[in-house]
Amino acid sequence: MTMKFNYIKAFLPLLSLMMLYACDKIEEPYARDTTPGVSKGRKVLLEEYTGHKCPNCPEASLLAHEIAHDYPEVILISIHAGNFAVPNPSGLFSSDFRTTVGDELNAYFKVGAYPSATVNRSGFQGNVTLASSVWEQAVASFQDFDPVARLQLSGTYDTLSRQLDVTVKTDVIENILSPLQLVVYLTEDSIIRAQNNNNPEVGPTPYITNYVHRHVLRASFNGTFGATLTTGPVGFGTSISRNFSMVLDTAWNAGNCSYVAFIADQTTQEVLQAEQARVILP
Amino acid sequence: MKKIYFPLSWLLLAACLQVSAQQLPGGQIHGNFELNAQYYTEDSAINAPEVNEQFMMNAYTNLIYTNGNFSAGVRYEAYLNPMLGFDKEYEGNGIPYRFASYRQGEFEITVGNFYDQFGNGLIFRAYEEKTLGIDNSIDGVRVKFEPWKGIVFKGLVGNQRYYWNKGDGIIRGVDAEFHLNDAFPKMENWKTKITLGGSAVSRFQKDDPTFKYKLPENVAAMAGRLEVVRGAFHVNGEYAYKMNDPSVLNNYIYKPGEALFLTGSYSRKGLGIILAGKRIDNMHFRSDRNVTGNPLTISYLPSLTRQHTYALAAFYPYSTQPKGEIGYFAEIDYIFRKNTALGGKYGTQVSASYSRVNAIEFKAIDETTALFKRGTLGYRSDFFKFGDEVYFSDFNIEITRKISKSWKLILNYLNLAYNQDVIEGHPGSPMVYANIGIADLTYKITEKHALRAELQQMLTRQDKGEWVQLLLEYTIAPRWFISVMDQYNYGNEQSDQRYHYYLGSLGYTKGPNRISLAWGRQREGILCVGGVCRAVPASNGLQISITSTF
Repeated sequence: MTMKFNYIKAFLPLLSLMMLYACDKIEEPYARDTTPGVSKGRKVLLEEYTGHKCPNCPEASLLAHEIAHDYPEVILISIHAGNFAVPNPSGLFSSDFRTTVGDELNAYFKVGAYPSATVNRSGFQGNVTLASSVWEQAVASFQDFDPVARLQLSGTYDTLSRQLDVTVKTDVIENILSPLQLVVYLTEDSIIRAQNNNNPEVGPTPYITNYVHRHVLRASFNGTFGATLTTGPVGFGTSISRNFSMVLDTAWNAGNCSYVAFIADQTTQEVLQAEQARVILP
Repeated sequence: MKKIYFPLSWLLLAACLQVSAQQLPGGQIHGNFELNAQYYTEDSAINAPEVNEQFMMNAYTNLIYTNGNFSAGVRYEAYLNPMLGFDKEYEGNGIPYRFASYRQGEFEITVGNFYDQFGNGLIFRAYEEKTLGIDNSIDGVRVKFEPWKGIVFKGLVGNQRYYWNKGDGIIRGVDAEFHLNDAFPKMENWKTKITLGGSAVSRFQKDDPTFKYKLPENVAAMAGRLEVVRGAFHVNGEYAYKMNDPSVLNNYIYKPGEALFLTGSYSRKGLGIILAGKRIDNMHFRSDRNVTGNPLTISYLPSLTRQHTYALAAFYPYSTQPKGEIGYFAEIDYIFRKNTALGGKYGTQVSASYSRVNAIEFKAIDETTALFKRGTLGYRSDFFKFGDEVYFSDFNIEITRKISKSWKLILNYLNLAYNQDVIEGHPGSPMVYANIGIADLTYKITEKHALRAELQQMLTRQDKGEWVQLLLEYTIAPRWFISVMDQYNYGNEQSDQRYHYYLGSLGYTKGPNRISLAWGRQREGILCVGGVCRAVPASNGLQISITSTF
């Protein structure tokens, strides 16, 4: 019996102490000293999967813009895909914002819930497709990464032919071992069409008639997953230029269009650097 | 997330079997198998999507070996692909569950995966609920220690299952339970039986220095409980406290969490009374601060509302709000004895209950800080004060009466208030007020043949309006049943959406094996078990279910 009492005497204080010390109480101020949103040079590509019939999406889009405000290095693309993006035959939701590129990305990243997003097409907490609740943290996780390359974009637009010519110059500033892919997309901003909405703080419910759709993916200059930029390791000082052309659809407002270019690791698909520029009308 | 190391499970089982063969001849293997699958048909009228796979299946089997004080087991699971409504993260197949356990003297040791619960589960419950797609088993080590009769200690350390991976956090927990009447000889013959318990759980998850707020790496929760039984009376209470735990679910506020759970009951032949109350305040507790939905829950907060089984009664189930809720529940069950005016020839059972859940009070911490502002304490709240917002209320009464040797009738009435905005997380959705009436009539044609009819109607002006349901079920005991059912949304404000949801079912049972087929429509809705819910999407098609045990 004494042995058993000894067990208890040894066990109880041990457990109590273990739990007492297994807790961290955080005192005010709760914010860290560092200032968030200060770019260190690496851009972060946040690709939001959405749909005009998705009632939860306006709130998430608002969040994405708040994040882009707090973290100026963020580049946003809205990809309309999935069931919520299917247009109605007529009426308010008859516009079709879907694209072949968007559909293929949607399938590739197995997007099953809307709104979702990828952040640099990189895993965060084990997932590549992320719920809006972790977008900010995923963006923040790239703050301390130094860029491995710089992208310089330039373009000319001809209003008569509606042809947009784009040059993307990649300057490598760190040795990169993996082969790289270069991808160039076209987006259109400020498209005013209807959007389902269930958050009265964002706008009227159940839908917003004159919703401003931002950064909508319209097309790719070089396919859904782009084209090979490098086939092996490249070192500091390497500079590569690529030219692209596209005739803009007449339904698109060229003055609201931008082109977004990014380089990705061919093996992991992670976006290593991105840049965007607006179409300048002559 | 860390990958589960599957081959280990096979090695573990092989090693266990070898030990048994060498030292413990004999032993038993038992297990079970369950398969649920559906062949999907697109049905755009009810928003049932086109399913690329056409056929989807969830299946699993448990194999448990026991020999004396030793047991070991594995579970194989296959989601190819996960059925609609279940998380796509489950896609795949493998062995996510394996364990070995033995008992030696005062100790019981378990390694591998296990389920467990401290007290009512307020600060720790690892469990599985396949219908909800929940499995938060612990993968680690558990030691149970009973140094003396009536005294049980438990200690455990491990990670939680996260689909096919494991959660980032490490859970450490201890629990002590004292059955005083067993522990102290002087109390052995007391009519009052007393059990005391206490537990503590701590979660470790690395800080994220890129995040703008400081995050505690170790978050502790503690709970104390008391259970008293004397004759027909039974009282159970537990209080839990959680330290600062900023997470995505509470918008990264630093207020500690609290939960209080009290139940009292009285039971004698023909009469049962239950009274219960609870208060929950900022009690989301996960092994990963960044996870939403149902996975990686450490705490379990029971709903304290009646769980209904009839389809329209279960149309608007309550889901516990860990963010903050306060409520109570009262139920009385009474049997009018047979051969009395109210009891009739065979007796009549009446059961009535009322539950109500409100928000707790949420007060701003000061004049300039918005409620739930990130990186603050979030809010203040008086402990016993009910908030103004009603989350849920349910008055219901059920009368069960055997009318004759051949006829049995159940009548059920419910009056519900359901805050769709909060419970389903759809801001702007209305408060649903519904009256539901149900008649369930069984006619026993012969000893083995019976026909049952259910007529249910729900009256409401909100959401999708009125519904009616008719079900006919023919049973040939003990093996066969066949049923047809139609749910009709006749009161939908949009007349072009007044759909019929028909379903035909056929089932066969023989001993421990059961197979059932169902064909028809499944309406979009919410499925809850014990206050934990998942969304069920609309679907159409052929469903198959097989269960078997050995």
